[in-house]
Amino acid sequence: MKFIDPHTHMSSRTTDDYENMAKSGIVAVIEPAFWFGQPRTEVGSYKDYLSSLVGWEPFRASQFGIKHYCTIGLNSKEANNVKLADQVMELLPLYAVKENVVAIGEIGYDDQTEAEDKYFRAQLELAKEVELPVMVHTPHRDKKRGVIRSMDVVEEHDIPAHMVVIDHNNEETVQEVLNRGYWAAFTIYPKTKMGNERMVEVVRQYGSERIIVDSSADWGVSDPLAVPKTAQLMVERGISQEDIYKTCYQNALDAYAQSGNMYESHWESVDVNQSLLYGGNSVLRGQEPFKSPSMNVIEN
Amino acid sequence: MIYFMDMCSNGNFSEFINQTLSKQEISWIKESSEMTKEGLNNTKFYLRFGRVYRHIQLKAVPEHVSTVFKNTHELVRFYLLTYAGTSPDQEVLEKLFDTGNTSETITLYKSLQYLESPEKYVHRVTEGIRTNILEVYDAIAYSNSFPAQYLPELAFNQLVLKGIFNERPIYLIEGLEKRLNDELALTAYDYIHERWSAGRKVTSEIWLLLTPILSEKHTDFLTKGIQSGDELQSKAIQLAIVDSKNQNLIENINANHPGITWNEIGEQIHTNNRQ
Repeated sequence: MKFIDPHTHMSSRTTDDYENMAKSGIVAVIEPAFWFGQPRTEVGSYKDYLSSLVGWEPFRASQFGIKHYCTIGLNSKEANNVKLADQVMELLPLYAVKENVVAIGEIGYDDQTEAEDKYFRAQLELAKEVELPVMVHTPHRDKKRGVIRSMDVVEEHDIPAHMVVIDHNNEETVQEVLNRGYWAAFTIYPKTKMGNERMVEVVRQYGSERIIVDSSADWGVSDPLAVPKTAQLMVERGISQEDIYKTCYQNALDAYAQSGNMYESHWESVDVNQSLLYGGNSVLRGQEPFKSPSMNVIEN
Repeated sequence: MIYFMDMCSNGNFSEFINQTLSKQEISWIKESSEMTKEGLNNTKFYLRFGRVYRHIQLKAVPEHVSTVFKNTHELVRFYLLTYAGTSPDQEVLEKLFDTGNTSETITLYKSLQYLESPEKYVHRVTEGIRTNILEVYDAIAYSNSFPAQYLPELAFNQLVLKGIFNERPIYLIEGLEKRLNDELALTAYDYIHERWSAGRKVTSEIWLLLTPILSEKHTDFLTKGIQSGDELQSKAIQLAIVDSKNQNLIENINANHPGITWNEIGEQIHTNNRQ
């Protein structure tokens, strides 16, 4: 089985993760620009972060045969630093037009402050201008009202629902998100967001149309194999192959291919170029190159 | 029709682009250059430069057209930078470098050799050599006259050493033989000892780097290398000895010209690697 993890912060992960992801069948990842844990206080550090999402990190992923995409945006937490936020907003268009960018995101609300609202709206306008889908981060606290408010604001800005992925859903939010025509993504994140047993039940109840599974693996306790593990659990619990395929691969591709920058051919012809890069100067420092990912192993 | 200005002696660019791209693509390029008539330092230009991949089909550039620019995206980005016949302001290039993705960065490093006052970008190229992204290294090292012409010795030496460490072909670095120096030779000499101590081999290409310092005091060291059983290495060492023009050394080892050039040595190594 092959998988796409459409929300994972690889800059916070190790090469072991890349290797295990490739072994587990992950062929492509989307890395949304996010809050790095340590707040940035200078626009320069934001710029370098965005540069790494369109430069260094795709290179690192390619050494493991994984195609790397990203989304560009000002996250809701750092939107509250207005001085920084204004400077970041000026930078975003330059990055939004790069080849591996498949959406504006992850943007939306955290504490639902005025500043968050202002920059969320400004970035929705940017998404329209550069004709990209939007990945919406929904708040941890006051989740349900935050989700509804996010969709209301998207609609105020005349962005069609099919161009928007509402992320970090749960059982309480999924119905309305689907009813209003959006893509509904679920983050399988131990303890705080969703466990994958709950995910299996969501798919059982709602089916697979416009439902997307992701890991949001980052610097916290999280699991970069959340997508393949959830797929495996769905197999064990009798979910149909088609539903698994859609929620763990095809829907993410359909949603983000609307950017015009994501094609299946990108990973079906991917060339693991590690063997060109041994020596003291690549991610691999003198180790044996990892040859090609086994598509069958799913560690659980 | 669009015309590349005569910044590079290669008139083939215009012909190739006009024959290869569709009318629609050509008009997008024209429109982009019209939009930035007033100068490049504006968001419109940066967006157009970034979006080349969306509007221009990716096609290979044949070697007879350019050995520098490999595909239509690189060539069109180069055109956008220089269409007015003048080099972009340094401010514009610095911003493009700062915010570039890998393919844009590659194009920028390749373009520098054609711009006015390329020496302004020594700091950029010096930084570029520190990259770990192979394609970026290659854009600086190969088919690029900038390093040999403008880099100070330390940076040039790093470029060569990095090539050795990454098992990249150093014979393809333009102007290498003219830029050989004692510092580079001493570092290469220590490196060979380090590799030998660890029971590892060295690339036969490395012996070229030693030529500026070789003398009769290296007789034992070189004899050990010649007797290693690696035929290509023996030839490379003999060639280095002959190139050193140190008569005592040549007589000590009884070295003869091995009938091979540094380019042929490099080709043999790297053609075998590719197979």
